Amino acid sequence: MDTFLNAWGVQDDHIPFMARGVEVLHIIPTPFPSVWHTGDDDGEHLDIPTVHDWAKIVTAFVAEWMDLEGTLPPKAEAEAQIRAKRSVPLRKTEL
Amino acid sequence: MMETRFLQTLLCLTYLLLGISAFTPLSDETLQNLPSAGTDFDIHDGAILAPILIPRVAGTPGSKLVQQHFVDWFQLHLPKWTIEFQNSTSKTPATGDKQIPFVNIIITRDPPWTKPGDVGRLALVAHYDSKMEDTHQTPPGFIGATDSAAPCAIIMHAARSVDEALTKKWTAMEAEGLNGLEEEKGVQILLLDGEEAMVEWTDTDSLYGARYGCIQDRFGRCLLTLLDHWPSPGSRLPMLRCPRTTMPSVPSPSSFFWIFSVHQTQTYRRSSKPPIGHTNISPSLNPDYEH
Repeated sequence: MDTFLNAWGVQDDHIPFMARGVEVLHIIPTPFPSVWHTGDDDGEHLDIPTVHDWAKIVTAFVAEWMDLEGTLPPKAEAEAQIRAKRSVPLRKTEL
Repeated sequence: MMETRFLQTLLCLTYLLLGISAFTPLSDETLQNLPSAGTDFDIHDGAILAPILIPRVAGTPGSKLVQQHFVDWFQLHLPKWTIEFQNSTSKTPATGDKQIPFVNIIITRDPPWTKPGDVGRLALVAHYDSKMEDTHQTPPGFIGATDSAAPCAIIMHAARSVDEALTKKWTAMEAEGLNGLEEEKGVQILLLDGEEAMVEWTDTDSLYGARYGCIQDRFGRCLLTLLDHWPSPGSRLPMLRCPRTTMPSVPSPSSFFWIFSVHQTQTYRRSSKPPIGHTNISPSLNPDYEH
């Protein structure tokens, strides 16, 4: 594990950006999860309620940072829009 | 009394000059109204998460499938966001003299009146590559659900959840008449390739996409929010890390709201730097792909 730690904390994608003065909020558990880099780091081992919680936390973070209080739609409307788009078949584009 | 008033005036002027503006905290009602991703996070057929849960080592067909998923999903759900590819190649210790392609995907939405280079951005970042099998613990077919498929999915849902509100806010700002003093900030999603080492983590065998992104991009002042390795069982409260400059003391590393409050008075300075130089700006023009 020591190779992953340095003066700036866990080595990750933020390091080159931080070295250039970008402010970073790095969200990572330490120690790493027990499934880290093993065959158990798959969908079945995700804690899905926690994935949903974090999706809301990150959404709230973005909404507050972007100063969106008063402009976000009511929950029913937002979720109806999500459902409507979900029923549209994915357009396959060529990369 | 006079001194207090003088100080207050001075503070106000300083704030004005620095362009510091207050954020309105989200109300409890707004927080409770945030939409759930619902079945989009289903691991078998969820529209957001399931397509990412495949092996996607840099330069492999799985990687291209996941890139395609991102492009298709953003084009369908978030047509106002621009999708750019940042291509690079590198040799790796696992692949000898062969040049392996690394593809960062950059998805951006800025206020419509701004020009690139004239806007600060909140960057939401996760890597989408999965680790290559190795001889000690990572088996063939490794998925990397926490590392970092789930964080990619979380970022996608967050972007979708604020999209309409951004439109509403920016339309209202334009309708009220812009006076040039607005805080110009956009949102940028960086889905980075090649975070994982191909053989063993070293300064050169890791972070391929991020290192290239830093050579290419000038972010001016922005906050990079990087999600990795979670959520997984037993890691309900991840450690938050902030650069030293914004973390003079650390009362509680696991408190999000402390981090929020630190950044509520951060200044966004307009960057006079040139716009980000990308090798390609259209998904259909990406030469790394065989049609």
